[in-house]
Amino acid sequence: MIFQRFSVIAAAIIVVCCLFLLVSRNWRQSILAFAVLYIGVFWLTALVWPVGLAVVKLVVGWMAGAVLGATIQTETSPFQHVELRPVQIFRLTAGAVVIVLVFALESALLEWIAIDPVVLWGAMVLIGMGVLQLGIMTNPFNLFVGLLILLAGFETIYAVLESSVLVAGLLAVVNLGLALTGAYLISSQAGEETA
Amino acid sequence: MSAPQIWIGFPLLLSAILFVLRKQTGVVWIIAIASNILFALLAFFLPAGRPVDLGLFLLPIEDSLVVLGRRFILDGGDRQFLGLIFALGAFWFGGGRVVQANRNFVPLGMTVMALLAAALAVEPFLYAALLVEMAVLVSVPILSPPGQPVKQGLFRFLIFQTLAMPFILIAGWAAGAVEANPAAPHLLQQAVVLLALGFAFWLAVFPFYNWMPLLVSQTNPFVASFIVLTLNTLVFLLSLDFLDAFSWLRSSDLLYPALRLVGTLMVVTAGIWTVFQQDLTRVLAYTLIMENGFSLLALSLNNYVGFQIFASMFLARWITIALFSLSLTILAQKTTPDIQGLQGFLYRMPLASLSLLGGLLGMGGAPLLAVFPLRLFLLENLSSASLAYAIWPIIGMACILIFGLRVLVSLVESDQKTRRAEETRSQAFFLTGGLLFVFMLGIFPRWFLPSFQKLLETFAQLK
Repeated sequence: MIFQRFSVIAAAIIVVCCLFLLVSRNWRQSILAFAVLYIGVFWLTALVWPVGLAVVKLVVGWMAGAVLGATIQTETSPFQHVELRPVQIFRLTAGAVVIVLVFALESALLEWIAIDPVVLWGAMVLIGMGVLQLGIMTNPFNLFVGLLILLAGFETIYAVLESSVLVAGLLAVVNLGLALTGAYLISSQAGEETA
Repeated sequence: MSAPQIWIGFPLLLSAILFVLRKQTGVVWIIAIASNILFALLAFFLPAGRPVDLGLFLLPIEDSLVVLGRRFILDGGDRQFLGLIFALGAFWFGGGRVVQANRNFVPLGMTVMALLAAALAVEPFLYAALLVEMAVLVSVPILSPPGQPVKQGLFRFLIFQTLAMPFILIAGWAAGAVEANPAAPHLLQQAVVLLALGFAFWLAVFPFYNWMPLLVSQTNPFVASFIVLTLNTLVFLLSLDFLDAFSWLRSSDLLYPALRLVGTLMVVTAGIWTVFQQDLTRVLAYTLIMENGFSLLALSLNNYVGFQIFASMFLARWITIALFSLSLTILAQKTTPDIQGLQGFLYRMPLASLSLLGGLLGMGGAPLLAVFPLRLFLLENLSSASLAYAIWPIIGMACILIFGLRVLVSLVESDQKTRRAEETRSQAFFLTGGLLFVFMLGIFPRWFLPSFQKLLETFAQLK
């Protein structure tokens, strides 16, 4: 099957998009990267779930991105502050460390959860990058992107373990709820800054 | 008609209606209190497992409801807990009006309670993690109403609670795998680690509790303590579910010493941080952490008495924290809620000041107050294992009592000793009711607590 044969591409998409999200200074590009990232998530999920069910992840991810993107007002965008190149280099380095760490831990993790190595690797990169975003970012947009990425990583692993439709539905509701909560808090923050 | 429809469906429907009506605060207030009292009475008096005789006909009420192939069950054992939750919901929503909580509090608070009931009812119980996460998300607009600055504490609360969900769900899978293959030590290790991390994030277990003082001090303390208590109560019940369901967990050699160590650390550190505080909202958060620590200590006894203490603590904790947070929020409307700001308030707002002391000293385990008999019983049982297990928690409690004395001195200290009572009638009503109940529970614990221990009937293996 085509998804299985080229599954490494999915992992590559995830790595590139996660690194881009770490250093991006343009919210439109960030949302785009977030949307592309979910293609990778969908791809990995499609390795273990029927494509029809895996599409739920893609649709939910895109909807979450759309909800977050729709909330950002250009004039109060969290990205308006010019970030220095050293900051971006630091983030990129931290991201690279996470990727190396996942490589290093892969064999140990496979002993814990015996699943397709590519799926595990991609999911662990997502989780690591999500935790990194949560740890080093301060603005609400990045925090919620970090949370959604982290959950996407977990969901990719969990998809191997559980294929219940109810769980898929509830996780979709949680993801959308998180995006809506993010939108609410981002707009509250923006309103406060413009006031 | 089914029990989940009554205690999950109707509250959800009602919360939607109240959300539409939220600008008419008076109407919302009356409906919320009346409906919560009704739900509580139904929980206490509606017979479980048999039809209700309505005179003209018999109304069958099923215990379970099937949704998307999964069952939601609310049987006899759950009713006591539901009754307590909705009865205290009536007090809390009434108090919300008194402290002028934001408009989202009542409608979304009802949603949180309905989700809590759903999490209690869902089978398999692992899905409760998803419902808890939904309750967390719903609670965000309650904690940060529109137009108010979003603070760091809220983000941390959201992050820590969200982090718990994946751990619990994967731990559930691992736990199932251990049941199927008990000889695999790596699976056991994996399940225990994941479970421990999940519950640590959920319950603000040491060292993951720094979000709690931030959250409570940066939001309305009354509202924040409602959310934290509601979620923690549910999570503790889920922990009983885990213990009941998995024999390997009950028989684990590591679990009970670990619970004892972490519980003691939570009680002691919360007590020590309290002594150095000025801000009472942070102290409220530390008392919540301390209570979670005592619950873990009760679980660590690993016998039926421990589980009985654990279950009985819910009622004492809810009413004492309700009184503490209500009086603190009322005082915070007039002054800054710190030791300096409260100077002389015993003469300006005597009822609120006494209630504050009642709540604070009650959480410190002072005699005659609600928490005292349970703490005494718990410490007695802990000391039978080793005296050291009892001494450390006593140090934590003593720290709270010392802080309580500092507050008492500040409340009494004033140049102007003209007596006034600035509390409104509704504030006086709720404060008096809360204070009386805290004393009643402390003096006559046997009137209330045995019936509450019926909660344990649901957990057949915890005997």
